[in-house]
Amino acid sequence: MSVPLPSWASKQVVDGSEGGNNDGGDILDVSIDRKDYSETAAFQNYDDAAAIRLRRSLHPPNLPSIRRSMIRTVFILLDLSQCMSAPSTHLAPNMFATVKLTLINWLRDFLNLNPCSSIAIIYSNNSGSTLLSDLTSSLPLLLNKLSTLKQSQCEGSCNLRAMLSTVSGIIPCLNGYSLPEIVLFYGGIHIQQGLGKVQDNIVNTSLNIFSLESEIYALRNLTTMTNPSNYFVPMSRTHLSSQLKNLLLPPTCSTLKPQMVEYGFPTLKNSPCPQLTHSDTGAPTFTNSFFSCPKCSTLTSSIPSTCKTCSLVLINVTDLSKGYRSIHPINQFKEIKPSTPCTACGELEEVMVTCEKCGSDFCWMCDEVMHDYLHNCPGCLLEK
Amino acid sequence: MRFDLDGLDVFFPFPRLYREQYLYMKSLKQALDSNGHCLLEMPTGTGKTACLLSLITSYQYAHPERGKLIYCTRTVPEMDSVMEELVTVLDFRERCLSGNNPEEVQAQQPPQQPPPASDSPNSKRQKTNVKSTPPPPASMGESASPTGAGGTNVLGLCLSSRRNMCIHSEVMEESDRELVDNACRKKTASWVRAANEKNPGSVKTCEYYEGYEAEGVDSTMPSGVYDLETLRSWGLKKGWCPYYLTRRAINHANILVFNYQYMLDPKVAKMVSKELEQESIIVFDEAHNLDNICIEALSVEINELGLEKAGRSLNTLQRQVASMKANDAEKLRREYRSLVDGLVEQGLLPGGSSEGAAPANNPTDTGLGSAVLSSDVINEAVPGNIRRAEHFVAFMKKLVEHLKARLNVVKSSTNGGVVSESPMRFLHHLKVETHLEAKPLKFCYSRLSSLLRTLEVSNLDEFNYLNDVADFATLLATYSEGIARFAVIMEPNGSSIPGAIEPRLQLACLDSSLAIAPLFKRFSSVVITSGTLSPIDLYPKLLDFEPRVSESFSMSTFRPCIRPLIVSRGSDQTQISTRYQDRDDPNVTRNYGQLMVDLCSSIPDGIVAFFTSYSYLETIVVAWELAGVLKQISEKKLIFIETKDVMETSLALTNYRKACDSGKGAVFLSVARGKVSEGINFDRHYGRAVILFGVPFQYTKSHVLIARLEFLQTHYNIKEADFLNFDALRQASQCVGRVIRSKTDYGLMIFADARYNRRDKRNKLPKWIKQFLLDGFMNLSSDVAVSFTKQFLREMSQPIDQKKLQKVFFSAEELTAMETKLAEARKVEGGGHVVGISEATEGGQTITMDVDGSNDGAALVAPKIT
Repeated sequence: MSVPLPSWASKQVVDGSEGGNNDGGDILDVSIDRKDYSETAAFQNYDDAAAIRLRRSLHPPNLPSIRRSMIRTVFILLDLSQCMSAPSTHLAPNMFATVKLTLINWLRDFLNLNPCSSIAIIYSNNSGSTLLSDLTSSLPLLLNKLSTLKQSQCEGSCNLRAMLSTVSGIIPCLNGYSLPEIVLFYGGIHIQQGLGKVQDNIVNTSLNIFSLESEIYALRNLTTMTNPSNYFVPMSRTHLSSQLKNLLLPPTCSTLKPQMVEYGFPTLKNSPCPQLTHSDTGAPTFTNSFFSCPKCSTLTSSIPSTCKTCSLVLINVTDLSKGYRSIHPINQFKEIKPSTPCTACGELEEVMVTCEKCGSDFCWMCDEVMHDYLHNCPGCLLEK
Repeated sequence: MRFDLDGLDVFFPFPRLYREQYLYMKSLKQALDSNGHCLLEMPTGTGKTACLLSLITSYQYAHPERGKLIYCTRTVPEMDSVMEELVTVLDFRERCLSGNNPEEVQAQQPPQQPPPASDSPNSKRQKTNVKSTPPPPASMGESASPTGAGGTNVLGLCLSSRRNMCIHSEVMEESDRELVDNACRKKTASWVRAANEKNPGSVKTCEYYEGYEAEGVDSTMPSGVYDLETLRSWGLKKGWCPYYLTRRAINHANILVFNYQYMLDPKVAKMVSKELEQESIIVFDEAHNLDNICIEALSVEINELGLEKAGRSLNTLQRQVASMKANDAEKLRREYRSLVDGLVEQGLLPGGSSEGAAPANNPTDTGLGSAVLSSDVINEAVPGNIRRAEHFVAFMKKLVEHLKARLNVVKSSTNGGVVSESPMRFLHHLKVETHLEAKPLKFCYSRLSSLLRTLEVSNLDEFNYLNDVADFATLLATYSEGIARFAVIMEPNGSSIPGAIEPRLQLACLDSSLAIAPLFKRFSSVVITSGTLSPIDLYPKLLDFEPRVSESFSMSTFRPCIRPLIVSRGSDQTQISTRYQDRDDPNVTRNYGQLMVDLCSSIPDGIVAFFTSYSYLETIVVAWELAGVLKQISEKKLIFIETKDVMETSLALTNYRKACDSGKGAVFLSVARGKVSEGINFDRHYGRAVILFGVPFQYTKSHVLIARLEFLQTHYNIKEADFLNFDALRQASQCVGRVIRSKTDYGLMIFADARYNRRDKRNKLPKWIKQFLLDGFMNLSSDVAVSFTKQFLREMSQPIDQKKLQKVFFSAEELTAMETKLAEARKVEGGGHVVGISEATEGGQTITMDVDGSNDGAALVAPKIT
């Protein structure tokens, strides 16, 4: 009963994002048996009916008039203090490896669902803060940078204040149409330097904190100061990835005004002889297939990216529609007594739901896939 | 919600209530119905105060003849929170009765409304806002007088010392309680005011007191709830002294909130108790230490310095008597004459009550103090040999000299001998040495206060030590006959500093029932309640009364928010304990240190550690410093230590809180019987865990304790070990009980001593702790305990499931359903016929209700009649 992401769904996501980047460095094999670790008596049945219901209740309610930002800016803050590399029972083998792996999977999902968004990664060790990757929408770039992080870098203490002030240094240079989001992974149980006046740095951001060890009052308190915010304490690796899933959907932001944003939709061109193109990784490269900017015709090797000449954001039109779909989800399904097998997979599970529009029954796993990845109800589509 | 409880219309200010609250109110009502006393234990953070107040005020409403509600608290902050709670309760009742149905208002509120007991700062703040609204009508004279306890108009008052109530700017500058009293007396004493009248401007009087005297005396206080702050601001507005106003108004109040001492200390009790109706309901909250408070109220302690000062005060008195004799001999003669007539006529009220407000012809025989001071004192005239002022001074001098001589013997004896005598023997010794009779000794205290008043002494604090001596003599002589309920203990080194020679004379009361007996006798219902009263069957024995209802309630929770862990072994599997033999074992110290370090690195925010005594705390801190344990801890958390100095400790506490708030985390090392273990809450992140190093037994070599144990064994048949265990465990549960203050809170309770694992200790823990103490959490080694800790903290960090939280609440309809179920279960239990609770109580039996601790609201076990 411990299937965090339906396997076929996640495979699809991997395929969509030029795979092959997941074996750099010391990334662990995904196939570590999750059941072996930390599934202690009390939480053995984490994926039991009650938990599923709880998770389902976290799905956005059927409110039509919520305003969400399609273009997101996310700062990922990583604690690389000593305790991250210490052996851990609930996030085995240690927090660093678990977080890194979970994060890689999450980044794929995230950029798949929010292709127009950009992500920066900042880490802190030895009481300092380092910007690992500046804001970018390019998955390969992010994965590359992440894979350079090694477990041996986990030393000293984490400086939360420095990390947050790095973020607050970048925020003023951002476009005005997105709410900056911070995702913090904190491994310690103390905040060595204290927090000081850190809350000044995070006003008008959405703060999401993962306390990997246990609840820390000061951090939970921080999340109450900003809105919308979340505070999570993962019980296991499975739990961590399911909590991270909550962040796939953009936060509601009623304060932001709708704005017209210019986008370029370049077309893929092939040429028999290699052309010199810009790439996100920095150095220009020679490639046979490339995109050209619709405004200035500058060549770029990959999208989504920003045109180096005219700063136009280049994006695939299907990505944009995907992003739109993901923030206009289909209606929440209603829970029913299990009677008929799932219309999609034919299984009869403990928790069954029904689509109120077309009346088809689904199991909870298919329900999650429909809401998280398909953004369509197969029953309704068939009726059409 | 307004619901029907066995025929009583109860106004409960919250829309839903917990099951234990319902049961609590039910048993309370049984006790009130049967005019009996009761003992109730309910965990903290379940809204005990709200239950008590709402049930008793509803009861008063239904039965106006039931007199006052007298609510005794231990500290001023507790008093304030009771007043806040009272405002909510009465406010709700007011709205209910005025037809403005508050249920509707509540129905519109979201279901996430804060639970009744939640101590979240928000809910408190809301209450504070409400508090300021009770409208004390502007004009006092015309306002309708309260219509008695049964009326809607309720007068709720609280009384405290002058220090907390005074509004005079000069007087308030004084910091000490005694000094404030003095400063007040200097401005308000009858002779001072008389002098001012004769010669205006010669002495400074208090304008507020004058204002009160001029118009306040004959007016009635408008109904409402007055806490200290309201009283002060109201007094300021009116220009009336709030202290004296309150003291007079208590006769009209329906609800009185004040300190234990006003009920228990015979010297002060007289002041308030004279007009309390027999039917009044007395509540002692947080009463787990009631027996000790009773004992303290009747014990006197005098040291060498005190005797020296008493001697000096006597010299002053002698001079004053001589000068008065020269100037105003008539006054002394008048006093003499009144002493011949006996004390009753005197209106002998101690301390400040003598001025102004003291009404003549008190029916003192109904007073509380009189029952304690034997009836002889009341009815008889003062013996001839101490009637004259100069004779009395000489008499006291003789007494003080004798006491000095006795202490000198103790001090100089070579074997460091401690003398413990019965009062009879001490008196005999006194008679042989000084020819002083026992009888005049009985009158010492009253005679002294009479003399002080005649001499117009307003700086009473200078005569404190003399007062102590007089008190000592009076108590000693009054209780010298019959079984020895007191012990006179003289020890050469009474001070806390080991080795220092500081002889001390103690009159130790051994019988805790003595001070409280008049209360049980006079009032029909005395309610004793606390979070930790286990084992509940010992209190009736100690206080010598028969409770009609004695119950212990478990806690209904939506998740296991308490995790008690008994750690009996270190990580190297050696036993850890603070037993005297093992205490200095380096293994034990090291294992304790290791446990502390491990816990500090796995528990975030605040940790409180309790040690058995100051001396043990000191030794262990030294040992840890040498072993580098402290350094290891300080890498993780800041360390704060409780000291004997109150100021230092409160500073440490403030900084401890700051450290917890900032996320740095801190550990507070304190002592199980110290200030911190009582009354200071370590809820939420201020205390994620409490660690108890050792079992907090009393110091068994103490002579007072030895005498008391002997007394308990002979007269109440309580075994020495039973009492010691009981006392240690109630102290322990007090300590660990600090950690949780509401249902949404959570905390670890770590008992680090192998002895907790024994059945006799474990079973003495309160029911609401035992319900979480599963077999798997006992007899652990420290590393296993640490891993349990981590897991528990993570589970509790998960967001609160609002649905489950709502499940522990009940609405009025659900309660009715519960009621029927209960009745059915009772039918089955009773073998076909219903065993009514009222029937059982009339038979004078004690009902013990067994309540299942499970989460499913419906599971209720019928009351068993024992």
